[in-house]
Amino acid sequence: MISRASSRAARPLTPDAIRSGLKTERFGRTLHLYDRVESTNTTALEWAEDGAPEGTLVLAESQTKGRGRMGRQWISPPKLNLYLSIILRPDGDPRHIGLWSLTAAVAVAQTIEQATGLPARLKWPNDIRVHAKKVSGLLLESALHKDRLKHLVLGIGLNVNLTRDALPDNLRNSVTSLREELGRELDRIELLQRLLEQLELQYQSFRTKPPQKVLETYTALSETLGQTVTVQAPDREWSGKVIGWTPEGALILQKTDRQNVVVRSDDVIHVRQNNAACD
Amino acid sequence: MNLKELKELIELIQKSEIAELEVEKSGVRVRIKKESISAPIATAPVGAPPVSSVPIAAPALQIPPRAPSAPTGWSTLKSPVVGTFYRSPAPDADPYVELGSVVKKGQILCVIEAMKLMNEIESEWDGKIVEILVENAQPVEYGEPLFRIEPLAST
Repeated sequence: MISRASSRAARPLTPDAIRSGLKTERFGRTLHLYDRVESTNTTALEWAEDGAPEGTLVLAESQTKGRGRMGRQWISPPKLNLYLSIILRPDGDPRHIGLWSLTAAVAVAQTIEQATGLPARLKWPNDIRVHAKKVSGLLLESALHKDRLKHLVLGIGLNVNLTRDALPDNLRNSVTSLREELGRELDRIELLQRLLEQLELQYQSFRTKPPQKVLETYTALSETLGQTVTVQAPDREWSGKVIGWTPEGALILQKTDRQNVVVRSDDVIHVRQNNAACD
Repeated sequence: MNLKELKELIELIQKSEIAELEVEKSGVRVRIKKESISAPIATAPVGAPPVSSVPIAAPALQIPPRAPSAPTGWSTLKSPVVGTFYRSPAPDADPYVELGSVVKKGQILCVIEAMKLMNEIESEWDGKIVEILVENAQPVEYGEPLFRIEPLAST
């Protein structure tokens, strides 16, 4: 469990404090810390183009254009949460890289559980939720030239000490923070260190273990498997039950007409027993 | 698509200045290409392959513009991954490229998304975009042609 001393909880992010006690080989060893950026992913993509080594960490105290899928906004107030991106250069076939998107979410969920005892669960593909509210989101961006992956940036937003009143009204029922769920503040630096260690560990698993093994861990933390869901795409909508994943991590939906479809990128909305959408 | 509809399509492009027509309907894709638009000949120089069985959620109709030169010199950029094809970084943003855009090798042409991983696909050549083969927000398979690019001699 992470210490609760309030002086530690409030301390700012500094490179020295982050490196002190960090038990990783590569993740976070090269570190670029900013007071404010548009988006850590955008800055990390620039560093990646410049040849930054694998494991390079881009971290910011706040983001002015924190973003999620389809250009959606990620609320990024200063000094409360963690906004980070890690540069990766996985070799091999880019066709299987989608599985890493799920594996990275496993690392975030395990870090939260180990650090706080809170039950962190995964909504496909990589939302991390506590008590059915989103606490962390991932956005991965890669550059591909011919059949080669030049680099990949893993972006993570984790709501640590954000308070409910800092959220817009329309998000208060679907978004939360570790502080709101725990009832106390957390030290972001200790949490970041454990997160980097867990990510490095899961990255090794992803690169060395067969997809089935990697997906077993994901499945154990999933709250989407077996659910009745609605899948929304720009030009279509399906309803049905989630019956599993493909080896690449795509969702297999059994539609109400019993036909199966593979979903790779659309919005998945969990539907409660009473059919009220819960996110 | 039945034979009658196919004949109508062939007649349509014979009478028009359209060099090439690709139609998808009920999961069947047909491409009809005229050999030459400058010297049309009486016997129909058309071929109707390829017919694919890839299920397409929404039928799409594409009418490429007149071919500026012999398509034999064009390069085809194929999808290196499976996912959803997007022409712009966000729904309200401008497309990365349009028909006729002159692009550099390494320039981003589109994004293919799978499992919230946005893969930015770079051009393999300096050249001009002469065909965009996939509609925005449609699924693409590995190896599926995305763009045709008329290479330009590098200076």
